[in-house]
Amino acid sequence: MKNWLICIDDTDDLGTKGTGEIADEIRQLLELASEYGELKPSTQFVTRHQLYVHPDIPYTSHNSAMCFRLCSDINLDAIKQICVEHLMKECAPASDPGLAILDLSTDYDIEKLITFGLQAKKQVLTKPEAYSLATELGIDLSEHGGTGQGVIGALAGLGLRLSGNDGRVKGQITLKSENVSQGESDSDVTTLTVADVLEQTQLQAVVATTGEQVNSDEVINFTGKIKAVYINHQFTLLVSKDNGIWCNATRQQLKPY
Amino acid sequence: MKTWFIEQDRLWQFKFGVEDFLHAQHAAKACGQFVEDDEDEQTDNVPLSCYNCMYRRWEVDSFKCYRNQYLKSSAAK
Repeated sequence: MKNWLICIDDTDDLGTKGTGEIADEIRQLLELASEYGELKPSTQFVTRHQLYVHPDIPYTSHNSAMCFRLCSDINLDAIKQICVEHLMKECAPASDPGLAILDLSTDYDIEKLITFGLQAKKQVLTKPEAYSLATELGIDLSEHGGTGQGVIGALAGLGLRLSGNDGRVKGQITLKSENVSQGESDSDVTTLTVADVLEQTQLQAVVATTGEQVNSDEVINFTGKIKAVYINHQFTLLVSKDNGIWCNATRQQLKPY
Repeated sequence: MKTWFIEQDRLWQFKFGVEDFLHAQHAAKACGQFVEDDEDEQTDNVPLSCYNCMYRRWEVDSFKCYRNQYLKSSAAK
């Protein structure tokens, strides 16, 4: 079994399927394709990484890359084939898709990759810079239509995921409690302890917006959609206190991640 | 439209920046052509908000509304 990190960027256009959805579909296809091996494959949450918003950067509306980790015994060629086939099928005609695949078992310079990711959040980078770094680090970087500008974000997304402190988790977190009515109405409230949340989900920590870890016996009131972030190398539920009660973070609070 | 937006390069730029949720909600309510963006790209807890609309394109300090361009190009196809 090998661990891989896969990232895509610039696959959508106004009114077409989002990059996050396409990434999640690729994640599922890779899991399916890996099931024929002897060991059970696994993937982790897809994370969304915000990149630089600047007039010189062509993007549809958000400029974000989507990244996920795959543990599988299929090889690079097979992984890439599945990714590319799905990108070709699902990407918007006007998009400029990029794909980056990193074999985490190789001896690559992680600091250089993280630095590239962090730079892509605050300055304009170029395709030659992205290809040059990918070649140096042994990362499979490829473009699949349009200008191929998505290779910059795809490579940056790998670095940001590896930084362990960037991104929101794609989709909503599902709680298993029988009395949960999440998402139906913002006024529906579900109450669970931190321990319950960690047991019922794939989340690894509950952290306050102020940065402190929340104890396992603390109670959280959940309303609306439950979202998570990636901080301290953990998939984390972000909470804040409202009138002395812990509540799941609002969209406004999640925006900087 | 002019209550919330100024015209710039034949596009409408939101006057109130990236964190004025109330104005973004009022603008979306008045618009009538709001289309919910991908759930992961929404930043306002109130669903009907220009900050959650598929037609907005973020800029450093604001966003521009691409509704008219999108509808025109869709009609031309």
